[in-house]
Amino acid sequence: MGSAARVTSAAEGLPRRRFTVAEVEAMVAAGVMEEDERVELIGGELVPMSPKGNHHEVVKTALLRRWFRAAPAEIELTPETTFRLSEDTYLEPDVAVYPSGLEPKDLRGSNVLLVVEIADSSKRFDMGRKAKLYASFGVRELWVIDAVRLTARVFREPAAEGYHETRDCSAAERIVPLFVPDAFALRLADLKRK
Amino acid sequence: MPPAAKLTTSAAEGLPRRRFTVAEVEAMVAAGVMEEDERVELIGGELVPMSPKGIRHEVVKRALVDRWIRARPEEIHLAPETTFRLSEDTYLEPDVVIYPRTSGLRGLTGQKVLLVVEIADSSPRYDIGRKAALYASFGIRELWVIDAVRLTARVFRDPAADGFRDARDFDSADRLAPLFAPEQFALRLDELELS
Repeated sequence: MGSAARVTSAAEGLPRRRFTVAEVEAMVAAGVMEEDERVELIGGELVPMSPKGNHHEVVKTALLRRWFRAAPAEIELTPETTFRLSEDTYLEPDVAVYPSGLEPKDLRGSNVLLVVEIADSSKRFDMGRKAKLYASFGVRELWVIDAVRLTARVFREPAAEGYHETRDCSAAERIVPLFVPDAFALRLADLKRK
Repeated sequence: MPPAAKLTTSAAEGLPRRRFTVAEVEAMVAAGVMEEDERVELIGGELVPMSPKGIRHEVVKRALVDRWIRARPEEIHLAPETTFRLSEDTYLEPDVVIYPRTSGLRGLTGQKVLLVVEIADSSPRYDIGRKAALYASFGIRELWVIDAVRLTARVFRDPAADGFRDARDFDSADRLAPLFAPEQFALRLDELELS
């Protein structure tokens, strides 16, 4: 199915019908939407996700392999989980890192330890509006990794209007997370090595 | 019911949004995800809640429908607030549509309808702007937008993809004569029995 036909901005500028997470789940249960339809719900609006490029998948795979091996027992990570942030918002981050004992469905902005978004075509969106959205829900640390250039922007100190701290990291720099153990620290350049 | 503000959003303004078809919205209603009486229109795949209708709106609509139901010839039908399916991803709910009886409601298209009437109180700018352009793009031959508060009308004709080529304003004392519906539908707005 062509993705062009699946998106619209016909009602730009008009107030639009707000959907809740529960309503979208009911749509999927009723077969109105496919279960594997890749969308996020942003403030009550369904926004299709851009298709993931090869760079994106290569970086994601290397990152997951490394972190699954390194993760201590008290820390859990889940790729591409449906992260319910409020009654009318869910996002699907590439990786969510959180304390063991929580189930993915219990994840909230306040209890997740690190969120990673890997961007190829969607970098501007991930660093702009999406970062703001994570900040508004109190996500403590967000990494947006540029899969093409192998750089990262690290966001910390969330506030209602966005992150107060952002820092750019090169491929050679060691990125050390603030709220998860050092085992998750990495240099993006190392992801290239087998 | 929660306040209307909670039911609308523009959170994803500027982003490409998921397009819904008429069939998907009907399936949502059938599955109970949306209420059957939820007042929304589907514009190019997006659900837009309709603004609540003021009492002036209802008074004018009642008077208009009452008059036309009495005056209509046998071969012409009119339907108030019908779900008018204009395409795979667009349906509107005009206040009145007038169409040949032979077309039937089910087969009604932009080309077959003779006259569409929108009655505006709180929303005249929307009705004479974007909504009129939308009707034009689907080939509606004639649209009246009646301002229920001032009792004036704007008559749109000659539809094109980007809007109506012909738009004329009328006062309450002017005679409005439709071009495609029979002359029994002609009227002066100040003759309506508003009660």
